[in-house]
Amino acid sequence: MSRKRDTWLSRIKAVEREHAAVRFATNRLLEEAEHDPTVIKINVSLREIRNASGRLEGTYVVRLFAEFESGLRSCWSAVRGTDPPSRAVDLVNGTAARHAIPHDYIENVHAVRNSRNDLVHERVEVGEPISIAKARGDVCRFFGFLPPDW
Amino acid sequence: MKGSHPMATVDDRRETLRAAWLNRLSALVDSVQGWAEELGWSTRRIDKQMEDSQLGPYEAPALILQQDLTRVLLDPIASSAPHTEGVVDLYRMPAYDDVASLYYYDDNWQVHDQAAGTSSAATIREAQAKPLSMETFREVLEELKRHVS
Repeated sequence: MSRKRDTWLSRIKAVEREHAAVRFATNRLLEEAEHDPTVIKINVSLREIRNASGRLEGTYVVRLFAEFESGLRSCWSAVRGTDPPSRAVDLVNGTAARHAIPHDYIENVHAVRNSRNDLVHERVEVGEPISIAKARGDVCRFFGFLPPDW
Repeated sequence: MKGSHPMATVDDRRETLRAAWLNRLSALVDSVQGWAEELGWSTRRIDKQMEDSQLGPYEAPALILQQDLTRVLLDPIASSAPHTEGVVDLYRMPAYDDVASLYYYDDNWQVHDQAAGTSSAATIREAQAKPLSMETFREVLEELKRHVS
């Protein structure tokens, strides 16, 4: 039987792999469309594809954090038998306290969460964006402290 | 078509494909486990829950390797992809950093080694390929340990 923690970790990693696939496809399309704009046969402009491409990594960081958050919620409900907190900050801190997760790992996950919030909430002052590879590494290290199964 | 049922045919085909993939995967895991143990790594087989549009849900073998503080996961990804009949990734744990990808084509597993200093799944497919053997596997692990230290 596969273990819950491993399954969630695989799902988080799968988001990064999906980003790589879409990045590859988008780059190929943009390259081709630069030479021949008629390859775009639907009602979108080259500029819109460029915009989507520019925001692609951020979009996938948001998805990656959502997968991580769902995994934490699943673990919280099963381990404690209570509803998890609605705010992500409380979910991360409560999980860290329960499973004795080191401070640096918590800070790194909060940096990913803040980066996600910058993208989602359109803040005026935003921090440096986090790459999907760094975000995946930080959330997976944190998630690795959870029990193997729940 | 007397006695035949279209759904049974689809299921039979799915079963055949899944069995072939799991055989190929098990043989890979057996080989890698043997090589790793010979190279002084401890190993543990685990099961991974897979979802595949072609094969349906199933469990596949995966392998965790550890030496000192370095831990690596041999992780089955897909039974098919363009120009390949199987994809398996090698990740450094616990962060799931890309180390290498194994693709099955030309009747052999081929190692696409992650270039040192890069960490994106987007670049690994373009990396230089080498046929998988104990020697190429040892090179991958040594390169990883050099990178870690």
